[in-house]
Amino acid sequence: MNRFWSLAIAALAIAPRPQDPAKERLRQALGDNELAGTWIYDDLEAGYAEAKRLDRPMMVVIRCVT
Amino acid sequence: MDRFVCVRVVQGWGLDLSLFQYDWRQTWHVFLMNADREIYGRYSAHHSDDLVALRKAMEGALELHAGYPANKGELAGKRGIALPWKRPEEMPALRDKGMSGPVTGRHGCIHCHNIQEGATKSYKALGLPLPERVSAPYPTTQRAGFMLDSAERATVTDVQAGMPAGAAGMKVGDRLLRFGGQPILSIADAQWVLWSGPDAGPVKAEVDRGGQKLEVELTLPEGWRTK
Repeated sequence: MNRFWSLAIAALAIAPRPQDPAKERLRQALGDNELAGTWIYDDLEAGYAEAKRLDRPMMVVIRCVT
Repeated sequence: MDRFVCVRVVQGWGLDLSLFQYDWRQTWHVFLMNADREIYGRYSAHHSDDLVALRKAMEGALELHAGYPANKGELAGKRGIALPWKRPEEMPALRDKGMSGPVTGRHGCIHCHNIQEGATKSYKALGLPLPERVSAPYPTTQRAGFMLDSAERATVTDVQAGMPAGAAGMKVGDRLLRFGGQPILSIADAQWVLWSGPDAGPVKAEVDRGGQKLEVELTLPEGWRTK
């Protein structure tokens, strides 16, 4: 699992993505730092909008943070 | 991955169950889909360390995206089946757990496994018969008599004689292109067809056998989910 996330971060190599402030607070509260600033965080509607804007498919990863 | 919009979902609260149906017992699951909420494929935590399989599933999703919306009709079966609840928090069993809102910290979250437990308990609480597909969720392809190679985008590695796949003429080496009328990108996709499909009856499969496309028809017997 960790290999996957490490490669995901390396492959992206893009500037931090702006996030909804409430979702950013959630990410910080959960300590979910692996993909901070690079993936759309817990916001499917923002994902749909971005995918529509860019005409790209989506990869939605459902992963509970415990 | 830069050809995808990547979204991470960390809680079950608010999840649209008419769309996001998967093996809720897993803590990690991937939906390859588009902005119109059409699903190209699923990928599950059974193979979370298999980056090759995930990459191939993603390549398949890019092919399907390139053919969208002309191929929209063949994606219809990948959407969720009708359930009594639209969202996890509507399940009586989960309401009783006191999960009253979206997660804001490390506690009070609706986890994926809560959804499976919640569904099972809610059917019972409402006095509804428990569907076999809820009591025996997300069957492996072994229940239909075949196994797939996770690294080769649904290539058959074993066929059991006397089981539906063997009786239908499926063979080792067949690459499963379509199953139940749906394009197959991963093992999770084949499991989805079995889970969402009939409790008994025919399921068609299109395979690539040495470059030749063939159709085989599996017949799932009564009780196949639990035998």
